[in-house]
Amino acid sequence: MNIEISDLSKIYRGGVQALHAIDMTIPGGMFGLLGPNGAGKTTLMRILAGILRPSSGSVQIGEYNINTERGRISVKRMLGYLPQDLGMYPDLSAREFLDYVGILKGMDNRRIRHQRVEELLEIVSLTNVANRKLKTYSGGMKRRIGIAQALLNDPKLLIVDEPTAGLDPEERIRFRNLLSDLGGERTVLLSTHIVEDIAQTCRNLAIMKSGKVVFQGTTAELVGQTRGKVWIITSQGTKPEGNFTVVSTLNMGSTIQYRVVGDLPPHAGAVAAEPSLEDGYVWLMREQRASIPLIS
Amino acid sequence: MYWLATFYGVFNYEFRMQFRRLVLWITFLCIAALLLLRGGSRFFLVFALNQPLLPLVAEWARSLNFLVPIAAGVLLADRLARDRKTRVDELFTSMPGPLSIRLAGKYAGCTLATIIPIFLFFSMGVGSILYQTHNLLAIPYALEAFATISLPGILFVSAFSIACPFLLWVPLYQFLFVGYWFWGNILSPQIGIPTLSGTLLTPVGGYAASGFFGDNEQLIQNATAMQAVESLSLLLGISLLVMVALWWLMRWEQARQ
Amino acid sequence: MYLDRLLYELKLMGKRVVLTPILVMFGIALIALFLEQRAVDPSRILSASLEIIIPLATGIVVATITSQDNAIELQLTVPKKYDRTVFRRLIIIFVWTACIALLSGIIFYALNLKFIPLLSPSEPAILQLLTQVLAWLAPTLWLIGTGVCLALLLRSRPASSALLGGIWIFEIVFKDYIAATSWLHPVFLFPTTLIPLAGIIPQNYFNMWLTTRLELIGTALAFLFIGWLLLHDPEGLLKTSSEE
Repeated sequence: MNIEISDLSKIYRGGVQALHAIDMTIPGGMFGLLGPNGAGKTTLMRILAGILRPSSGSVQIGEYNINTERGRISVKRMLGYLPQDLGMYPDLSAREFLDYVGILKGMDNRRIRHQRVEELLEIVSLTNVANRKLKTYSGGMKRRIGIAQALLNDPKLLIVDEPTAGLDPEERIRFRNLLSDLGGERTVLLSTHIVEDIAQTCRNLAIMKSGKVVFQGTTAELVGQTRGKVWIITSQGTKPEGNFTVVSTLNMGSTIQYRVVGDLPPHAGAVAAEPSLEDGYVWLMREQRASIPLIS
Repeated sequence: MYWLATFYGVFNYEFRMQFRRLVLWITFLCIAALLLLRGGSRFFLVFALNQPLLPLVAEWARSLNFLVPIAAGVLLADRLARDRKTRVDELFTSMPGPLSIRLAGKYAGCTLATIIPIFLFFSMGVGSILYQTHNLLAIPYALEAFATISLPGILFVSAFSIACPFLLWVPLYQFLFVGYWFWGNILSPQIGIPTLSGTLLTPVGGYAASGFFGDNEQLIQNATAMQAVESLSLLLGISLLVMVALWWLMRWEQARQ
Repeated sequence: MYLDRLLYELKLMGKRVVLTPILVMFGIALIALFLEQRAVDPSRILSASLEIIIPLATGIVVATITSQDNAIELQLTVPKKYDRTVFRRLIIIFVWTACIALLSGIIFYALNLKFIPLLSPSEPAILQLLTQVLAWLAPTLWLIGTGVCLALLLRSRPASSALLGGIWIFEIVFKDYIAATSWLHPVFLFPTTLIPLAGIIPQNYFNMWLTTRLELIGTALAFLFIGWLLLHDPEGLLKTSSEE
């Protein structure tokens, strides 16, 4: 199912413009959304989820136009949504919360709903604590419940905001894999600050900044743009200075290895390195700061 | 000096947090509108000048005290709960400043911020009295009336509103507080229900109004200045005791964790 | 499914919603019995409990429930409409409160504790009962409607509770002024208890009383309609009460 976004703008009450005439095509499968805080990712996802109404422009999700009430309701029927900060009802147990969300999602058959709740509790490894009240859950456990509720109605469109925040490394890998599996037969929109999550799961991505889409394409294209701009500098201790951005610092004992992104070789001794998606993101943000438009 | 810096820091933070709340101003604006609507001797701040200046100013302060402390008490009731909700209590606990100083700063900061809109509305009435009487004595009288009639009640209410939600669910406290205000200040003892109305413990300011200014109300009439001093001392003393009890409870809870 | 949902809605609102009216009525019953023991007529406090105290408790509970929903973002992404969810919650609170009020009325009657009479004793019992119900139903609905509107406009529990409390005390303190001002009659919340009549109740008083009760219900419905409109503003609903 494709999502076609054209000329989409959102101006909040009070005049804050969160989105500036966005055009984007989101194909089926996993799609990553990257960008700094305040880029407009959450606003875009809330519009796609039918929570907010656009100020102008149109969004077509499959056969439905979400500018209409009927379209929004239809999209909500096939939607799974995990907001960045999912509030829960502290007096309900995890099992009850999932059952309640199932009812809200229109899963009217009690037997099927209960069965689905048990399946998802199993998937998120919370079956043995499912009767505990949510107020006793840790941040990571709440995150897992959030993921479970998003998957309850077997959604065709899954929108997840920072799904792996607060999870331990093992859980994070499990959920990345789960999302990848889900992306095989549906559209999954993954917004995150963790570039690694997108590198591991998405072929396509978009990068937003200040309410605009500054890149849309494949991860390979973004990495390709950065080829020849990533360098390794080994130093005895003094931090290298120049027209570049330090991506990482690795202490090797007697020396320190700096991975930097910049236009030109920063030092005579700098060694070119194979770029990663993170390098590509840093490069793009650097270019944006220099106000050079770079839209693929 | 460090204690002073802690007090000032907390006071400043709490004052700003409360003062910037739009709902604080909206609430007092609505309460002021309700008071302006009431008829009688001062419909829309036009006062009937049928009594001397001193009791006139005192009556204005006392009549505000029927309604505005309710808004003050209810709006202050969420201050401790807010710290817990936003998790800043954990942050504060990890800081070296003593709990007692932080509580004092909190009490002073948010109470002062809550008093400002009340004082502004009170001043509007005083301005109207000044305009009608052309008597500058209204200003010192008003300051005196505000300090002795309104302020002790608000300080009393603030102490309870900050402390009690430590033990009670905030909306339950708010409901009980509104009920208390009626029971302990307005309900006539003649109805037969034991009440604090008309006693020295009533924070509505009747003793100060009657004892210092000669403004008699229905329940408290011809009080002496000594009784007014006793009432003020009781109200302020109890406020202090309540804050000390809160400090003790919070320390006990921290020790248990 | 319908029952499941109702039970979940009740549970997620918390035990406090269930316990509040029960505790209020229990407290009032104790006070009434205490007054009986002291040979003081408890009819006024009994009428006050249903006409004045229960509506305030319900209004504050409604304002608390409506001003914030922990899972609002999730609620706005499901096919079941959020306005209906909120109204379902309001109906649960109202029906529960009404049940407790009715039950308390029956228990008080059984204990031979009387309310302030609104009609002459010669009037049929069913009419007596209906007027007693109307005495608390109208202010309860009015404070529910006002609570919803204030909560959705201010998005703040303390502010909406403070204003409900302010209105409540204003109605009590300035009862004579409200009674004497005809344009304030549509918001005269508690005439039964605050301006009780002794002896034979004049027909024109009853007519005024009945008219104001119906006007109160009318304004309550208008407030609920405004609340329903406010529930269609997702930006307003998402705006967290950060300034609290």
